[in-house]
Parts: sequence; C-alpha cells; structure tokens
Amino acid sequence: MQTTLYRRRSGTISCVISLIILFIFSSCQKVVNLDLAEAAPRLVIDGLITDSIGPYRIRLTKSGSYFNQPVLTPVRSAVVVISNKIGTTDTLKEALPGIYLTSKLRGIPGRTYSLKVSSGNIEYTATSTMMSRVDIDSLKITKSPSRGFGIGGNGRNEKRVEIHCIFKDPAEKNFYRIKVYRNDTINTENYRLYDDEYTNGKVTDLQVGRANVGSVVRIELISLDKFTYDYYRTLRDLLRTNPIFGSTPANPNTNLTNGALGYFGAAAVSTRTIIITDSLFNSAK
Amino acid sequence: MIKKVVVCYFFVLFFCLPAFKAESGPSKTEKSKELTLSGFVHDSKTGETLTGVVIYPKGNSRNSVTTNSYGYYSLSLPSGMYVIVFQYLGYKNNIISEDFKNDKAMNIDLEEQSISLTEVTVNGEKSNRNVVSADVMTKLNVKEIQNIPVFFGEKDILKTIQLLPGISPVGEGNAGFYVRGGSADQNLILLDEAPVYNPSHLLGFFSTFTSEAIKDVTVYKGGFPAGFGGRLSSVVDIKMNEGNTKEFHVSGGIGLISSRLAVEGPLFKHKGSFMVTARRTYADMFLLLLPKKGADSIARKSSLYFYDLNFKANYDFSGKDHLYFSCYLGRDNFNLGTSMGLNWGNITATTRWNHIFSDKLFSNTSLIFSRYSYNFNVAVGNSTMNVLSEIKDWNLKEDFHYYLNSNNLIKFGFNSIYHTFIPSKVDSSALFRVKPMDNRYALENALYISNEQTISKHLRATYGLRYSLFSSVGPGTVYTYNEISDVVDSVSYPKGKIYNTFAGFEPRILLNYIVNDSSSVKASYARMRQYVHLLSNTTSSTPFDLWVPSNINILPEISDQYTLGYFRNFKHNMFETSVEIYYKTLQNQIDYRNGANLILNNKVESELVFGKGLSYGAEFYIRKKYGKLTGWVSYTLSKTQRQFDAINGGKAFLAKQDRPNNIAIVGMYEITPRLNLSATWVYYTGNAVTFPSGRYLVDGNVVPLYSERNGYRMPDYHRLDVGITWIRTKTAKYEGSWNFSIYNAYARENAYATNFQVDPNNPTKMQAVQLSLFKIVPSVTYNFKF
Repeated sequence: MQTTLYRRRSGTISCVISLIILFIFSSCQKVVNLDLAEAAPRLVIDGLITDSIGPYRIRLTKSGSYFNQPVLTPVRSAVVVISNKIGTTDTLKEALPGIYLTSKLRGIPGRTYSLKVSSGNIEYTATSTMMSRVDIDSLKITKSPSRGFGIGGNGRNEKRVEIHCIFKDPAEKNFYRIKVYRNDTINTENYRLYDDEYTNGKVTDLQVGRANVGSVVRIELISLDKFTYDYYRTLRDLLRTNPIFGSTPANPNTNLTNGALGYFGAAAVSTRTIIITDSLFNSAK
Repeated sequence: MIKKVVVCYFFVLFFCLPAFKAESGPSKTEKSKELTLSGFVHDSKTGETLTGVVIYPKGNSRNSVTTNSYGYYSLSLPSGMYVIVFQYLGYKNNIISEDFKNDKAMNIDLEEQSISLTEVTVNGEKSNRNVVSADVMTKLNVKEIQNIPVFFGEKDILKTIQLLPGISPVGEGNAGFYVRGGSADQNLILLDEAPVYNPSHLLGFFSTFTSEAIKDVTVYKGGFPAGFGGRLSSVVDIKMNEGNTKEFHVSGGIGLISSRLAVEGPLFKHKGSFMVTARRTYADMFLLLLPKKGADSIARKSSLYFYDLNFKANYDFSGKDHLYFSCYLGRDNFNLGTSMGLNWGNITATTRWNHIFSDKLFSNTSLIFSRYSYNFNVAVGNSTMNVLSEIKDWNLKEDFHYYLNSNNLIKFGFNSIYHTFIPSKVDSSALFRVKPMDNRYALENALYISNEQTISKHLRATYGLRYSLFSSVGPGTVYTYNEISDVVDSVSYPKGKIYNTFAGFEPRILLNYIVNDSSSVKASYARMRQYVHLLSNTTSSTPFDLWVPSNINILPEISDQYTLGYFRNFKHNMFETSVEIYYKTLQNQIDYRNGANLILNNKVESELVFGKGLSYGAEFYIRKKYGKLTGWVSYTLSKTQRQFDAINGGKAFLAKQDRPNNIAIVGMYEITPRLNLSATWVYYTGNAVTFPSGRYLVDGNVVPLYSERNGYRMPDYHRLDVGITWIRTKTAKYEGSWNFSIYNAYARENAYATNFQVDPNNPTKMQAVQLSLFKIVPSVTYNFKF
C-alpha cells in the first residue's frame, strides 16, 4: 500500500489556482515600506526531548522586530526545570547564552514531561507526553515518475528516486513527523507530517521525498503527541502561508502558558539511512 | 432586545389591522363599488413583460401599484372617470382615460424611448416610486447600465451592483461582494428564482451572468419582503429576458477574450417566445501561439476557458395561464497538459406557471432545480485521482398575490427546498489516500404572509412574517466533539429519517411616512435566518469553497437589521437622493480554527468557531435618471466587526468586510445619439489585514509573530474606468456598434496582496512586497443586432 503525505493535496490545489492566475494575467510586484507596530519582546521557548541519549536542549530567546534587528536575543539566567510524574526533576544548566542543557534526564516513551521556565518573574509551563517509538521497518526507493506537474520543467533528466519509509503503524492514534536528511542537511521549513487517520494499525508505505543518485539519505520517523503535532502543523501552515490563497495568519497553537512563543515537546525517534547507489537505482522499479 | 422588537412588531401589526378595516369602511359609506383594473404590461416592440411599472390614477401617485415580477398588475378604484398613468423608466408614459363601470382586464404596451428624447419630451411626470413605495430596493435594467465601462468589455451585472451604496466588492478579480458588512455567502443570488451557488467564472474575474440574457436585477439590502429568505445580507433577484414575441432577432458581440450570441423570437403564432444566448471565452487560444517544443509545451496543450448558455421559453395559454421555462448552464474548464484537470460550474432550471384565479388573485408556482459542482482530477504516473463535489437543490415555490382592495396587497406562499450536499466523491488509485466525505441531505421549508398597506395618505407599510424550518434528512451521521475537536460520540440516522430541526420566525416590517410627493421617511426591521453556509478561509474565492448545511455543530446564522432612511427627489423626480442608516447584528457567524483544513475533511465542522457580528453605517446616494448625463454617486460610511471567543483573545476585531469609506461615481454622457461616453470611479478603504509585528526563531525557522487580528490595512483602493460606445451603423434592419473601454485608466497599482520575504540584498532583513494585478486593461468589443 502506498501513501503520499496527504497534506500534499491542499498544496496542489493552491498551486493549481496560482497557475490559473499566472496563466492569464501578468501581475506586478513592488517593494513597499510598511510601518508595522512593534510587539513587545516575548519569550520564545524551543525545546524537544527525545528517547535518544541526552543531554536535551531548551533554547530561550526573545522575539524581535519584524523587519530589522538580528532575530536571536538569548534569554539568560532563567530557571529551567523539566520533571516527569514519577519524581525525576532536572534543573537545566545554561551552557551557552540562552541554551540550557539537561544533566540527568533520560526520555522514556510513555512518560509525561513537564517544563517550567521562570524568567523575569513570570513562570511559563508546558507538558508533553512521549509516545511509543514506531520503528522504521525499511526504506525503499522507486524511480521518480515525474518531476512534478507544472509549466516550464527545466528539461533536466537526472536520476532521481522517490524514497519510501515503511513501518507498521500501531493500533492507537498516532501522529508523526518525518525528517529527511540528504547528505546530513535538512530543509528546516519542510515539515513532513503524517496522521494515521486513513492507515491506522496498518503497514504504511509513506513516500517521504526525493533524492538524486549518489546521496546518503537519513530518515527519522518521529512519534509525536497531539499537541506537538498540532504545533508543527500550524507552524508549517504559517510558514507556507500564501497571501492570496492562505487563511488569515495566526501564531501556531502552542502548549506553553502565559503567552510564551514556541513549544515544548517530547518525541520518540526511529532512524534509518539509505545510500542511493547506481546499482540500487538500476534495480528499482 | 430581540423580544422587545418582536413585541413592537406585533403591536404595529395589531395597530395596522384595525386601520385595514377602517380604510375599507369609507368606500362602503360612499356606496360606490370598488372596481378592478388588471392585466399585464409589455414592451410594445419586443412584447417582453415589464416589471416594476408604476400605475396610478393621475393626481394620486400615492395610490400607485406596480407590476409584479411577471408584469401583472391589479388596481382597485371606485367606479368613475379616471386618467390612468403607466410609467416606467426609459419608456414613454402611457396614459389612458376610462370611465369605469365594471371590472376590466387590460393589457398595456409601453413604448421605449431613447435617452435623448427624454430630454425634449414633456411627456409629463417622472416616477416618484422610490419615494412613495413601501419598499427599499434598487432596480437596474440592463439597458440603463449597458454603457458602463467594464473589465475586458464584459458587461457584468454583478459588478455593476457593487457600485451601489452599501455594497462593496470583495476585491479585484472576485465576483463576490459584501452587503452592509455581511459575508459573500450571505447574498441570495437568484436567476429566475433559482439560487446560483457560485456566480463566478475564472475565480471571480467574471460573473456567470451574460448581459444579453438578462433583463433586470433587483437588489434588497434591508427591509426584506417576507417572500425572500435563506440568506442574511441581501437578495439579488436577476430576471432573464423572455424573448421577443413579435419578431426574430439576432444580437451578439465579439470581444478580445470572449464572444456572445443571442437569438430570440416568437413561438406558436406569437403566443409564446424564446431566447437563447451563448458566450465563450477564448483566452486560451493564445496558448497555441507558444512554441511546440521545450518549456512551454505543456502550456500549449493546456486549456482555460468558460462558457455560458441561457435558454428561456414561454407560452401564454389563454391570458389566464402562462408557462415559463428557463435554464442556465455555465462551466469553467482548466486543463494543464494531461496531468491535471479542473472544471466547475452551475446549472439552474426553472419552470413557472402563472395562473390568474381572478382579477384580484394571482398565483405563481415554480419548480426549480439548481446545482453547483466541480470536478478535479490529477494524474501522476499511472495513478489518478478524481474528486467530484456538488450541491444540488430541488425547490418548489408557491406565491399568491391577493389584491384585496386599493389599500391592501396581500402576498403569501411557501417554499420547500430539498438540498443534497455531496462534499466529495472520490475515485482514486492507491497513491492518493483520500476518503470521501459523508453526503448530507436537508429539507428547508418556509411559509410567509405579508401585507402591503396604504394606511393613510401619509403612511404606507409592508409587514409580514416568515416561518422557516430546516431539517436534516437521513442517511447521516452526527458527530459530537470535545473542546479539542476530537470526536467523542456519533449518532447515525437511517435513510429518510428527519432529525435536528431548526425553526424560527422571521418578522419583517417597513413603514413609509410620506411627507409629500417628493420626500419620505422609511424605517424597517427584518430578521433573516440562514441555514446553509459557505466555508472558505482563503482570501480569494475558489471553486473548492464548500457549502455545508446547519446541524448541531453549525447553528443557523441569524441577523437583525434596522434601517432608517430619508428619500427625496428633486426637479420633478429627475434626481433621486437618499440617506439611509442601518444597524445590523449577526449571530452564529463562522470563522476557522488556526490551521483549519477545509479541503476533503469529513470532520470539517470541527474546524469551525462561532461568534457574533455587528455592522452599522450610513449610505448617501444621488442618482440622475434622465437627460444627456445620467448616473449616480454613492458614498458609504460604515463599520463592521466580528467577535469570536477563540480568535484575537476574545476581543472584537474589524472584519474583513469592514470598509469605512466607500465611494462610487458612475457617469454616462450622450454626446450625440450615436456616441456615448461613460466613466466610473471607485474608491474604498483598504482591507483590514493581519500583518506580523515581530519575528522569532524556533525549530530552525524564522517565524513571524502576530499580535492582533486584522490590525492593519491594505492601501486604499481606487480606480477609474472609461468607455466610449459608437453606434456605427443604425438602420431599421441592422445595428452595429463599437465599444472601447479602459479598465484602470490611470494605472493605479492597487494592492492585491502583500507578501513578506527576505531582502535579497540583506538576508537579515525582511521586506514587504506588494502584488498588484492589473495596470491598464484596454478592450474593444463589436456589438451587433439584426
């Protein structure tokens, strides 16, 4: 059974519509000066703990002005504590400005983790449950059937493959994020998310991306709880927002309290690597 | 508040009813029997029925009646000698003198006159209907507006009504419009009584109404008659031409991107007539000019066009029975090579039977079919997916007009609609894992009664009550959701089972205090209920926008609107002016959760949030109806808000419909009878939009920070269009004319959207890029008629 990431549909549709518009009407663009009000700086918490070996990292920064200023202002000297329900408490140490590391905590699937950050007399909290790890059974490749639909393909005919990630989805509700590293680099804006709504409990063959022959591809299949998934989903939608066909933009849905931005998540990760050799390409369907 | 209004309403009702009796009293004491003059009014040249013709005994325009939407009138008078005036804009008055001794049926023909003639003829009084009538609608004939310059030379009635006060366009390249702060799906757009669910072509650059096929349009923004319901904010009642009953004619137009053709003529020895029109665009023909090989070869094989077909026929049986059949079919087609296809469009069909029971009782029975659908298919390699989506209505409508006496016109009737919603029927190979969505079925019923009453010399009123019911019909499954949108329960109903009924009264009242023959004050209240809703969280309208019925998760939308207006005519009704203020509250308005997925989502209702709306404003309008220079100026000052607990921290915010200032100027000038100049200028405040007010880094991405919904505005929109029409040949047999127009004549770069991107010269900075669609769009059309 094959499955493309089902979110692709809505992307396709807005692509169609954009094309229709481009098709008939030439438009014009110009850079304009907007006078945007500056929001007061807000705390940004960026942290994910996993079932891999620690230390895990929580990064605290402040939001900045939209058009100018470097984005990253570290938040120093905050009190950052992660605890689980069975009594383990880890107070994180600030290793670099704004970067806090755990010292003894080990992420274990099935446990719920709470984060508490105290900075500037305000306490921010969040909890996340680490779902059980879903192992990747295998990675397979097929020859890439097309370079996608669109006008003006550049006519290149590279040897490209589709990468399939095959795993057995557990019977309960699962949410996934798939990270694709090609030669150790990742496109951070490309959130590949998957909800098992249509494949619950089944062996799932997920087409996760394309790669050229010669590349080394590492796939991480990350099990998420609903809130973390929802954060990534709304973050992805925001990053993709198209001013013509997008909905009204809004901040991603976060599990953090007191107006903090960002998220705190717990996730279990399964990893596999595949080297796309010529012989592998030739034997692929 | 609402209760108070209802109490007031019934108070007025009871106050009026005795008046009703009191009025009929004196005529008895005078011992003169009231007689009835009734019949149809037609155009003398084409035989088309004319609607909205004003008929009154000379010297008493306040006792006027108007022809209904089928051209029928019934005037009650005590016996005696009368001079009766038949009056209609663009036509010569027809004045008849009669000594009435008995009831009389009389069909009247009116002769059209060219605009220049209006200047010189002293053919008496012009209508003051807008002042003395007990309604607040605006009616436009296609003939009056045919010279207004338009985009690509495509005359477009939906674009023209957006130049009226209180109505503003959704945006450039969008056929949608907002009426008094209501959303675009709150407009009931009727084509020969059939609702048109998606009145736009090409994503909204054109509307579905071909001007050749259209006779007139009537727009209600408030003070709604009880006969209309089902949408909150407006009724746009469009009537198709019936076809010439006297002789055959062909007319058409050849334009840059489309051509039109219309044929009309008599049927069955002039007892009937027909009309057929067709329009097709051919913008995609230009694609064939692209090279056969290389990058553009896919584009060459692609297509993009739309077409419209209108057909109408009617037959007059005996003078007492008249049968009409009309239908419309329109479709957009878009194909990208062979890898993708998308087509969408509407079909409507209306069969109407007019029956005259007596000279006082007129009835119309309509059976109406309406369907909007889209088809989307994609092929990748050997895998294909096809999605079909549709909304389909069967609609039975019955209306009675009872002309009780000279002071009371009672209208009553019912309407029954069976809706079928097929949000998505999917046929796909395994690559696309898409599940179809559940079909929904619903029954929408309404009963109404209203009375148009002349209470005294100074007071006329129209009051009525509508009762509407909306029921879901099985098979269907109703889901219950918790706060985080997970399904916690579901109930399934078998086929034919009626469940989840919503019902409510919709009181309507309009009072007209006639100060004198040229000025009046009108006040109205109307409650409207809406049971079907359009889900669309994109800025532009798309064929994928989805209609959904009310159910326990989507409560009916309700509006209450109060209006107060002062109407005043000048210079013997040559100038019509008005000032109207309105106050409208909206309940159960729909918005979307953050990150809502509306496409192919069976639990789409869990993505919705509900809130309240408020809109109020003042509308100023001056119209010059006669002379070499005609046209109007409209200005609207308004405010529109929405409030949702789940959005903007629960604080009220400016709705996207909010347009504080909106101006439209329309001018048409006849230089010679063969040369017409026209121009329109529009101005409105830029849309309220959400822009970022900061940014931050998370998970390796720079993310914009938002602090307020719709806290910013796009730049103000303004545009001038000019046109010139030159009638080159005009003989008894043939008429040919050229129309040249320029859209956006001074090349204003109006903002269509604002995009934020990294400054290419400095990666640490962001920049805002404004996208505009059209600079100057010139067009030329040749129109002919023989």
